[in-house]
Amino acid sequence: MANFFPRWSNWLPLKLAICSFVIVCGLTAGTWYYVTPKYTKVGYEPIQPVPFPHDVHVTQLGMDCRYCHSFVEVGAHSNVPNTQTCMSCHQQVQKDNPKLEPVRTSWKTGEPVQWVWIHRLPDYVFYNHSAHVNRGISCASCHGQINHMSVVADAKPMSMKWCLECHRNPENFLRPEDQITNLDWKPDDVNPAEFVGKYGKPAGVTEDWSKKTHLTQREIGQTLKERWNIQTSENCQACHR
Amino acid sequence: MEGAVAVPEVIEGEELAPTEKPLTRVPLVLNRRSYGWLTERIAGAVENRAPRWWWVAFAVTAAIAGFGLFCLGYQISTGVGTWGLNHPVGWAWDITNFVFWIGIGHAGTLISAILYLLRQKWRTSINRSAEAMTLFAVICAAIFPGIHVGRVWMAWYLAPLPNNYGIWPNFRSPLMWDVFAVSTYFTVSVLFWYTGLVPDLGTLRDRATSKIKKFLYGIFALGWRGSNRHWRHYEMAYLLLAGISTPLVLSVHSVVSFDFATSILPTWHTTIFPPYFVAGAIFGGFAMVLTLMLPARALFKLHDIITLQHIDKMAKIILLTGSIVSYAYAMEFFIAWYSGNQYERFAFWNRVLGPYWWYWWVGMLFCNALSPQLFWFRWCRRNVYVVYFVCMCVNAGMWFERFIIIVGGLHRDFLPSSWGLFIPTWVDIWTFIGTHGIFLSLFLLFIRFLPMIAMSEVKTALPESDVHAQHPAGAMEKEHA
Amino acid sequence: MPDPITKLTWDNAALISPRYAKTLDLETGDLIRIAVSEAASTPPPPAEGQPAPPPPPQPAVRELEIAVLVAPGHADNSITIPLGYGRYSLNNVGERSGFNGYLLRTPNNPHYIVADGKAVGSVTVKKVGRKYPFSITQDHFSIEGRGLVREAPLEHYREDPEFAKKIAGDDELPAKLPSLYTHPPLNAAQQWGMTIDLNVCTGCSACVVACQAENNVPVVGKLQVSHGRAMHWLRIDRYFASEHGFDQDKGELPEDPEMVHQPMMCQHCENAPCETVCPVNATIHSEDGLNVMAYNRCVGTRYCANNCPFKVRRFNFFDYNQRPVGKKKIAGALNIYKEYFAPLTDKGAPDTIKLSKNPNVTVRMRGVMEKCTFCVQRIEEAKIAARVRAGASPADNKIPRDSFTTACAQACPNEAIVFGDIRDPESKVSKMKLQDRNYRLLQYLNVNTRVSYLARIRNPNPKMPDAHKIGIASPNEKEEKM
Repeated sequence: MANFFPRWSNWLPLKLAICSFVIVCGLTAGTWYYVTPKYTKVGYEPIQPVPFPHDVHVTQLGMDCRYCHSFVEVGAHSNVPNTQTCMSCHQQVQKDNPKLEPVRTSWKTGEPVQWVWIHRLPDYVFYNHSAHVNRGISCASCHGQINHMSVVADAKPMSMKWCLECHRNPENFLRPEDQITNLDWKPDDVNPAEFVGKYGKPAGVTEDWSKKTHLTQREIGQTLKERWNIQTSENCQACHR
Repeated sequence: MEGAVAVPEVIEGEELAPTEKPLTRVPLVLNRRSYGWLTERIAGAVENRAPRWWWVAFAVTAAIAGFGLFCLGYQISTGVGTWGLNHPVGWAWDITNFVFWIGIGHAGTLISAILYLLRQKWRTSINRSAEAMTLFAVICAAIFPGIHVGRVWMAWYLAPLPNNYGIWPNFRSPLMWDVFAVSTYFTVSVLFWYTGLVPDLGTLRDRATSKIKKFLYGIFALGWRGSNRHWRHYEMAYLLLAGISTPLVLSVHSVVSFDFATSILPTWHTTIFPPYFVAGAIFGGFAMVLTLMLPARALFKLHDIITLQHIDKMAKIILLTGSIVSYAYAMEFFIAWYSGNQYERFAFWNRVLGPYWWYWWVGMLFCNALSPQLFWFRWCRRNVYVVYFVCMCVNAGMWFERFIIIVGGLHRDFLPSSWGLFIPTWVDIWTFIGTHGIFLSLFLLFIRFLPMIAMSEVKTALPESDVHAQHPAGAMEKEHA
Repeated sequence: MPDPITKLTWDNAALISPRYAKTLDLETGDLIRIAVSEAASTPPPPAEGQPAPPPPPQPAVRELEIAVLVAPGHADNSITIPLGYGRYSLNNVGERSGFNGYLLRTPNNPHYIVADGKAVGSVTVKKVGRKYPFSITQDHFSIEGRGLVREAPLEHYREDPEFAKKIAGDDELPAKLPSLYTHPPLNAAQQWGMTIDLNVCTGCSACVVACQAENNVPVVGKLQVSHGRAMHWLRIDRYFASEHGFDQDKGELPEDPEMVHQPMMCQHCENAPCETVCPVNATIHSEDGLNVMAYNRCVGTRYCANNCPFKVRRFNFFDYNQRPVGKKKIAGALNIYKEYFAPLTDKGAPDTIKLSKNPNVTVRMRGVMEKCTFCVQRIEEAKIAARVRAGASPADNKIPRDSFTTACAQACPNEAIVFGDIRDPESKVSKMKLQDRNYRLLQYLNVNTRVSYLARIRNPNPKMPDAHKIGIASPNEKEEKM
């Protein structure tokens, strides 16, 4: 009887079992985290040709998103502003700032500034900005609080599951139409009496929400969803055509 | 050992004719071979130097397998268009080959599991290689559903994995069930085969002469010592696995048949498919077992272990399942007529008289339905050449049957405007031949490195193992002396 | 685009009648040599752009080698050659396309060549003995007595206006067939549907071209068409019907046939067989009744196409949009088809091709299935526009009635195709569906198609001598007994 299994090998099956359990769990977790969210690149923060500080322009200077991204309410695509938009101020303001050299070059040559695209979806996804910002979805829902970013970074996963979170339960994200570009808006900012006066209440709610001290996001969302007849589609053709 | 010296190498025919001693059972191992002879003969096939024919055969099959793999690579890199598929015919050789191989993979588990539970001792001399064949056939089968898809790299969408899309695969799709059925079947078959191998691996380890062999067989023998306790656990594990595999024998091909039965195409949409497919799979599987075992029997001189009685029994199973299949064929035609459905009727006329008419006449009618009927005659069941001929017919016929079902159903369905024909390309043909190369290479490796007959199990079929044996061991020795 | 009558692609051919083919011992694909010799007496006037004719008395002989296509219904003892073909390797698939019919034209009578002894001395037709490969998208032209195209003469329709609903056993079906599957609710406010009026469809194929342009349907080249891999989402099925039945499988061709056209695209079945079999949920049903297809989810099992009773699903067998297709000469007569060497060819399409694509429709890659979407990009665009218009207000956000349509319906010169909201009783399509000629295909399968057809009514002039011989494509009593 060949006896080349030493004594310690009696524990081998158990050790193997534990090892393989750990390895399988690790692989699963690793796959789960790294492989499947192929398009999530939260934190992606490329260096732009001009270090445009959104925090200065929006929070300090109080510019509205739509001053530069002017097509957002009317088009599927939200534009990056052209050089002329930048120069409308920077002809007077900071006109010798060396950081703005690419913009001035572009102004002279007519070649657009080569901005780096951050919030990029795959080709087969047809996202429409106007359909969202006109119907109670804020810029911040997808882009994060850009008004506090000195360098823009990707804030949300932009994965399909993430899109579906809102498409399945839009009431968790809807806000009043005048607060779309107010990236700092919180549900607590809503005055319940005023809100209920303007938008009413969802059907079936007996409680008088206008007497509440504050409304939750869900309550606001439900009201607006019903009021505006929001029908989010969970079907393929909503985004893939 | 003395018996082995006394008796010549090969004795064709029966030693004990049942007519002479009507109440004696015909022994499963002929010529009163002893334990030692069995071990020598079976382990010897692994331990001796490889015969020249083995090297030639392996070189040829490996070359074919290699070219088959090249075809796979070409098809994946270039597109499914390298096959002859077109718009009415979306599946052809790919799924035909899949069903063909998975069908062949049925005999192994049937022999090991169901016949084991039914206490059919004659299974012992063929079960090992039948199981090995099962595994290799399932490997060949698994290639096709994998590569037939347009985007192989996206095939993981079929698995219900956590993902970034927030959606699940479609659990209503039979293709989805296939993935589970085939992978379960493969896993259980591997376990079953390996469990049965453990005692024999122990034997090989103990007989091994080189250190490397000792080590490798030792690793896989898992420290088998043949103690009473080992045997007790082993028997229990084997019984349990046999119990687990038995429903799988029926389920796998039933699920494969659902691919067709749940669809709406005339000739696909039939409730008869699951039993029909399972019977057909056992039919084809047994034919393939014989196709492989008859040459192996001759080449390794295993006539005393795989006797004509074994061949006879397998031939009877082929006859039985072949007749079930023929009945199903007839029933399909009857139902098509009885349904009164214009499309069904047309489809079956088209099967017999349409562009693929000879596939039906040769493949289904002659090879599958008629040729096994020879096995009604005892002479045919016991003539290895007739048996081999019928088995080759059945192998071919079962492939034709699947082709007729798949392409025959697709090429002329509802709208005559979309009728078409399927013409295979060289890639189709060589991918299929390549899987034969893979299958045979694996089988050749198997008979070279593992005992092709379950030594420990065959020994249990010897009279010595039976406490109620009519010939005590001593009496046998005396007779020989 | 396949020729509406012959279904021939990439080439022209010498069309001849079945009877004439029999006398000349020809079949489709045979090459013939046509020689036209001019009458010696008439000097041809000089024509611009043509080689100067040789001077009399030697009669000029014009020759053309051309492949024959047997076209049922063609007049006997004559040959039709469509002009405008005969280009050599000028198209991007590197393929010769057709035969130059101008070589036979005479300046005196450019449209007809008749051996009348005045301008043309003789016309000879000789079999060359070689074959020429044609790519024809529809091989089978017998409807096999199936109730796919339904038509009736006017008197029959007057007697029985509901005749279209009584064909193929449709009248015997229960009003609602059971389904084993559960289906998601069709609960959107607007439900899309289509009708196709076979009475006014002429088979012109404008819809096919419109669909191809709208939906970025790839061009696959002559070889792939001949392999049965044409990609058209919308095809026009053409069937012949003749007074006497004929069995195409026995090589019989219809005599004096009538021809029917049937535009065929995804029927958007409410109980779609393709949806239940897709293992990855790449094709599902939307709440507004569309059978939608997510290309990026598709792994390409082709199971859906197999299970589609209408065979309208199209599979990308090669990377048609990224890799070149078609013939490439390597040496002498040797050539390779570039699609079969895809990994060795250049990836990516030229900018002109890219710019020709509709940006609102995904360009599909190899290995995915595609099919008619009812121009879902237009539906979604209209839907978004309606919602943006409603904005943050409780206003009605439905798409205005009949405010948009699909590309095929837009292109149809006869308005045979009508698309719209079938839930709205006032929409054009709902009114069409109320007509008595309305019927749906293969209803016995319980597929509940959203596309329905309006049966065709024939009204042959009774004064014509063969008016009673008009073939009808609908199954009649005689055929049903088969």
